[in-house]
Amino acid sequence: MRVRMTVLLCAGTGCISGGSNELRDEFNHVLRELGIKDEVSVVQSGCFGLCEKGPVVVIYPDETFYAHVKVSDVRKICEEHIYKGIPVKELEFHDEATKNKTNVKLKDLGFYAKQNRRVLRNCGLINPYDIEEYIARDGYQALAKVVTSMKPQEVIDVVKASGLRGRGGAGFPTGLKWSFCAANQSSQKYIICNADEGDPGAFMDRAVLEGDPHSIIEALAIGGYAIGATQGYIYVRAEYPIAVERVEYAINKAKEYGLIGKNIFGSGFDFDVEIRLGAGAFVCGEETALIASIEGCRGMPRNKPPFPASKGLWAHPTVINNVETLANIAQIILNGAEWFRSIGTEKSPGTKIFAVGGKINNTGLVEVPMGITLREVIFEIGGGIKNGKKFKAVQTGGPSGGCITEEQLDTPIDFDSLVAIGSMMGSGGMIVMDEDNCMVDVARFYLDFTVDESCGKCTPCREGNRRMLEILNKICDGQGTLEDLEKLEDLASMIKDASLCALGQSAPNPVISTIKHFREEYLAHIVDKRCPAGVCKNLVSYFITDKCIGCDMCAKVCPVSAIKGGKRERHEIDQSICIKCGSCKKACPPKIQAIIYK
Amino acid sequence: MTLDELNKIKERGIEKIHLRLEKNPSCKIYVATGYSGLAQGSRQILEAMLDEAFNLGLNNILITQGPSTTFEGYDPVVEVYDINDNKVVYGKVTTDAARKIVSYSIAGKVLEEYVIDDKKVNQ
Repeated sequence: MRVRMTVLLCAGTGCISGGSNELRDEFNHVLRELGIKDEVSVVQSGCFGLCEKGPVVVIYPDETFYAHVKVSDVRKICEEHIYKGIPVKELEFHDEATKNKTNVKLKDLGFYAKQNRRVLRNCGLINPYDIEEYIARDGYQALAKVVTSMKPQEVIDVVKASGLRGRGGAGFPTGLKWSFCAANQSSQKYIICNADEGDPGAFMDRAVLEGDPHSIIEALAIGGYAIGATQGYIYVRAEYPIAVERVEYAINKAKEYGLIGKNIFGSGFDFDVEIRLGAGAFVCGEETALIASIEGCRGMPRNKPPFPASKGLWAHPTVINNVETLANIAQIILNGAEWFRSIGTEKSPGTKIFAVGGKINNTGLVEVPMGITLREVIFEIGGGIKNGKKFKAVQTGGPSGGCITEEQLDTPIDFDSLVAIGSMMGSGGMIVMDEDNCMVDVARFYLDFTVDESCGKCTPCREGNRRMLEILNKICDGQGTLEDLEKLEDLASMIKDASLCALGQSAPNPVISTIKHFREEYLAHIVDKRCPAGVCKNLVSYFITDKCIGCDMCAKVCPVSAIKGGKRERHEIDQSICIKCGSCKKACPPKIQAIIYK
Repeated sequence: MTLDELNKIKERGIEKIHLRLEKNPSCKIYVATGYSGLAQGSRQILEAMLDEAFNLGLNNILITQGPSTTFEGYDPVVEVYDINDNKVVYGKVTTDAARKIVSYSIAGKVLEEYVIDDKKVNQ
């Protein structure tokens, strides 16, 4: 029988660690056993975005979406759905939008309804190892069009007209950056893809690299043609081994098919791409530090000006673009600037991918048009707060960004609007927090990260951020004073003004924004020596109230045996032994809830 | 690599991934499987139809399994939906009839002899 069904398994890093390879092997095994392997193609593709529900398996042409699939489920899917045509209801994923419907298609799901998967269009559809599947999706058509029928200036004009802005965080107009570099004369120019993606919790670029690596290779070649570069580099962080492997494989395939290399499409244009690995430094996501790293130097930023477009890699004119920025290029060339502008906002056209994480139901990747509100992303696409808790804040922009509160949730998301409310879009990380998060601790977490990652070159960042962290630690330990709060604010503004690069300049942002929106929490820590969210251990004490029925559940889980009490008698916690882990509170039966902290 | 060669690879590639692409097929054919369908040879019907569609070089058609129907005793049953979602149900389909149904359906015609409906069944 001809191939009549495709089993598509998500093979992004999340689902791989959830067992996608084992699922693939089991599918192949069972289908062979049933004698129907010839009718079914089993394919692994990139990220579907609904990472919370992984491992994900989608059956085509039915478009049935199976979630949390285990190896033990595979036989049932093969026998019931694939052989007999009866979908396995218990494994199907439904959300609020589809729970009472039958014959549900992927695009009906509430999770996908408001998304525009333009950059992610091939993720969850094609096999990233198969260049012919990329070509089937109009792959390399844009490159062919560019090198055979367009002048470099025409390419730059299209990208300028589209209004595409850098998706790495700064939002600089891409067409303008390319035109600066094109205008500089040099014997050699370079174009680099920044795939360092250092923000904690961000994995948008990872999804593109793992799921659609050719889109980046094609875009680099197009960019190289536009600016006059014959050499491209993809700088990937070493912490993404799957992405590195797939990009490396894709580069070799593209060379094998003659799509990059010498005389591309007979145009006389040569272009080569190589991978360079990052080595675990957040600062190397900063373009001049990245350049230093490729040159073999320690990753430390340089003064700008001169900007890389005039003096970059080995002092040659260089363009550096983020993965997501590049992933838009081929489609802009094929569909035009007007198409790109047809969604999004006037100043920020197009889509943006967000990695939504934290205390939210549907964690994963979402690609939405610019201009959508935070409320829609968090509550409609994201499915709202986990366990019915109350929303407290959302952190956007990673360690460089700020917190956004309930009142600001109807702000439309774009580059300028988020800056206006004291945060920034950054590269697209979005961490949702609930009533159990301590905002002082959140600020401390981010500052801890940036202090660790600071390269040390400039004094304001190296010394200043460290001092800010020390003050925050003092506050969380219950030693803070009101003077400390003033010091924090002073330091923050000095560091922002005087640091050499964006790491230092933006490191104080989480502190500034949490002090602005959650000052009362800081004051509780400083004046009342109390952590309202119950997170900062030194400011929290656990007590057993008279609701206690003496069931002994808490004493059983206490790792330091700090709880004593007779059977059916009210138990007591010895404060001198207690390590404030909170296990007792979790163990206390929900109906009793005799343990509180204050 | 020339543009022509690229386009040839594209055609080849589309063959490979066509099941995953979003389409608006001009007609949708569901071969009822489930226990009674399988017992009466629904898989052979499915196979014949897929083969016929391939031979005719049809791109814009969906042929797949469908749920069991209420027409007990009439398996193999095939349901065909046209572009406006009008449904025709065929019963006791043979492999030859199945092949004819493919070419008839794509042309908007109905293979009368094999049509079954509530009226016919309850006669």
